[in-house]
Amino acid sequence: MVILLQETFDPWQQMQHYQSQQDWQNSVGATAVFVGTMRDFNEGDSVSGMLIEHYPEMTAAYLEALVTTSIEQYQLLDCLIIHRTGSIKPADAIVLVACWSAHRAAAFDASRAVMEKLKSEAPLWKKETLLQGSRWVEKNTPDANAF
Amino acid sequence: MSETITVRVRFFASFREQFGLSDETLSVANNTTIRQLFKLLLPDAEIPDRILVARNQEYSDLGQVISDGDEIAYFPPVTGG
Repeated sequence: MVILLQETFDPWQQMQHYQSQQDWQNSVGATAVFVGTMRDFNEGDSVSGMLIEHYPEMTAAYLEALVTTSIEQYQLLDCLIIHRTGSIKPADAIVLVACWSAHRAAAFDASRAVMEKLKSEAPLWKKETLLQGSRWVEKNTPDANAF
Repeated sequence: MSETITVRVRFFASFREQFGLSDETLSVANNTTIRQLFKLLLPDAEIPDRILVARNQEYSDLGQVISDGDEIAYFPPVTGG
């Protein structure tokens, strides 16, 4: 499941609510969750806010395909991605990736892999608000332990 | 066969601001590539080194030939997550 949200969300509440509605909930042996939040600094500057732009049709299609292929590749019970768009502030959740599986290795591996694919390929862009002006984030931090 | 085709062109993020284009519809010649389409729209602009392109909401490349009704998008490296 993929959800793109314009409003602030509680990732833990969303994750638990989603899980409670699934018919696989009694088969889960492992849940791996990644939550990305906005920090108030970047590249030595204070950041007071951020705008997240996306390409609505392509972002949704890309993330839905990522969920489908990851469930198949890692034999997951399910995978949930929630990503914010629009205006956000420090400490707000930006992204949730939750992977459910029977055993821990699949959930761990899949959550990491999904995040790395999302950060390198999903059409989303951040624009930071600084004390003076604003700037587009030019690139994401590369994964130090790329798969 | 028609000599021209109609395409929708979209720009996102810093490219939208840099080039002053967001969502355009135009007619171009058959067999136009995604690279040529960029130059038709922005004849004086250099194609950015780190450009990403999509055709009908899927990643593509500048050499791809476009078809009637296609939606082509140009955008910088992604920074979500």
